[in-house]
Amino acid sequence: MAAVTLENVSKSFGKICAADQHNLEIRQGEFFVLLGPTGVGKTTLLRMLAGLDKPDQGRILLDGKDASNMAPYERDLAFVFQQYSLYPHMNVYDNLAFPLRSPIIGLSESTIKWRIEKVAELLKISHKLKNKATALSGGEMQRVAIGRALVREPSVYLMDEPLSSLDAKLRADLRIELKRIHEELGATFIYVTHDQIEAMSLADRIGIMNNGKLMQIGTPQEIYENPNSVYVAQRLGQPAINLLPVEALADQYPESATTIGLRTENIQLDKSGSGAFQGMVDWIEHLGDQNRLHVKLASEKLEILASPDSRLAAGDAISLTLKDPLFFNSEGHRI
Amino acid sequence: MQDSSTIEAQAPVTQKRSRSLINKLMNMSDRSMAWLFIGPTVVILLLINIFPLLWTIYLSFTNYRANQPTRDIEWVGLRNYERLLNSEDIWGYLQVTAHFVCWTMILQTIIGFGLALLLNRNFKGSSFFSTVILIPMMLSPAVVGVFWTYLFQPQTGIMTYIINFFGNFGPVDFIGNVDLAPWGIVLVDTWMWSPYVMLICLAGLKSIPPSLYEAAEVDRASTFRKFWSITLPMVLPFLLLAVLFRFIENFKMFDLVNELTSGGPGSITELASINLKREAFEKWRTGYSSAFAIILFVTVFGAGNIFVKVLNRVKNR
Ligand SMILES: Nc1ncnc2c1ncn2[C@@H]1O[C@H](COP(=O)(O)OP(=O)(O)OP(=O)(O)O)[C@@H](O)[C@H]1O
Ligand SMILES: [Mg+2]
Repeated sequence: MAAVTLENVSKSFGKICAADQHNLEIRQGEFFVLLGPTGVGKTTLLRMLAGLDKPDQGRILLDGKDASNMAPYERDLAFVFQQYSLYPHMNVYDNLAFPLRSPIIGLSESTIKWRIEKVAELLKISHKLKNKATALSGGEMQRVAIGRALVREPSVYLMDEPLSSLDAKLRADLRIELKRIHEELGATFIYVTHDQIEAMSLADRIGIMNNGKLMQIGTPQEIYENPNSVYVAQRLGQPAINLLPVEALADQYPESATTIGLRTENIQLDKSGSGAFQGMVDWIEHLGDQNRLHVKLASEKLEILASPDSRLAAGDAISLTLKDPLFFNSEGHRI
Repeated sequence: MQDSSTIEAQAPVTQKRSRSLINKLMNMSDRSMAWLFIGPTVVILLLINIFPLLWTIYLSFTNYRANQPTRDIEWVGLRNYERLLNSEDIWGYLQVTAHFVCWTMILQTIIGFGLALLLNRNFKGSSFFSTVILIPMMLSPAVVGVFWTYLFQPQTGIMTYIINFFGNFGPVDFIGNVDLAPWGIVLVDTWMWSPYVMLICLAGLKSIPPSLYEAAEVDRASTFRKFWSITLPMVLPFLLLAVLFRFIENFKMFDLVNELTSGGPGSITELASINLKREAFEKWRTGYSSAFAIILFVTVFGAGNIFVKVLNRVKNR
């Protein structure tokens, strides 16, 4: 049975459509990531699931039961808010204890203490438990917000960009921890981010959003290899996919295609000049573990990854051969 | 011709002088600039606050009578204080004051906070209601005193009418009756000043971000728990501040009660400050009443300080 089902869920704020006919089924125990740039309606979707906003239209089912008229406390889910929403007059310990002290759960203080200490250690905030919630750095506040969700064991976790204010190392560490916790608990996670690496590494399935619409839903691999539109293709892959007018490159292409999409794996580089297209290395970004080649090709420019031992230098002439490029029509749809 | 030339010759000199004044001002250090700004206020404060206070302290050790300014002022040491602290009447007036202060504080806290909670609901017309509720607070105490005397009128007043709604009590005299008068003044003061507590509490309630209630809802907090763990602790500093102001104001209460009962019947509602005015300006015992004033001042100052300490602790918790 699906843990979370959305049927034609829509919501608008005045003229802005923040949720446009969402249809989605999330399995019990799935790690579902919503990926999209700012302002596309990711938070709105989570808030509707939590019961904090009411959809204008459509139904939300939790565990197969219609949740349209359920209050937030009846839904048994935890929410990591984008703006943390910590209780400012309490210290960190009391913030973490707040959900556990609910009479519905009825835990003893010693169990509560044990759970909080476990979570605090995991999130590396054990030494801050006595601090007031307002006397923390942004990253610490964010970890307290995560902790407040993790101390509970609900059936669904909603996380709204929970790692956005952490430094790169801590973010990578916590990403792994979250993945581990997910596997340990077997709970359903719905996770919002605009970081494609987070999405790719955490997700069982990704939903890509644009202007209140779910553009494509699928496993990270499916979406990466088979994007259904230019928009989706641009969301995944680093460097971003190269988009060129078809005339510039392909000799044979589908009738309606106007744009061709090329990632590194769609291009074979050749120093000798035996490839189909001739270009020149404009300049090279050295990133340590890899090099980014900026290639000039007649009037177009391409960004391609190359291994550091490829021994190319700026000004070198190269030739390119295409392998299974992606074609899009004038509306941006995949062909 | 000559005149105009001398004027012309002088003009640059005055210009130079005024420019040097501007220069002086421009080059002034921050500290002297600060003194320049607060100086006038400090002088006025010294003249009308500090000097009279010191003068009162001096008078409280003398037998000075303001209606006999030519009489020699005699230093009597602590005699005024001795007499005051041994007088049974004084303790009686302080008791009347304590009754008045305690009950008005309790009632104004409950009613003011309750009204603030109601008006924070943002129902239709809530801003209209809050404006109407604030009116009593904006009236002059003298006016309030006069029209409550009419409302309290035993034969024709509306209070008698209202009370007889609940049973046949006959004419009820709120300010002439020995048992009712202490409650009559509490009633009027509560009517007038609960809006003030409401206003400050409302500001506190509005300062609580709604997202905290959302977080609490997701954390499965009941309505009572949301009130107890979020609303109350976050409004408490505001509430205590309002109560502090009401405590100080009501401890010094004079105008409203003087207008309503002038301390009567007998001395049933004779607050300390009303008695003080009697001693000072009816019996003209200036030295004695100065000592009384100092005692009241020290009491209110001490209690106020304790209050501020509690307030700070609540804030920094
Ligand atoms: N309460 C509201 N009133 C009016 N408009 C709103 C409200 N909440 C959201 N919106 C609008 O709805 C759209 C979607 O907002 P939402 O918060 O869901 O974006 P988001 O995808 O979470 O963005 P971000 O990544 O920046 O958090 C935005 O255009 C926003 O301005
Ligand atoms: Mg958001």
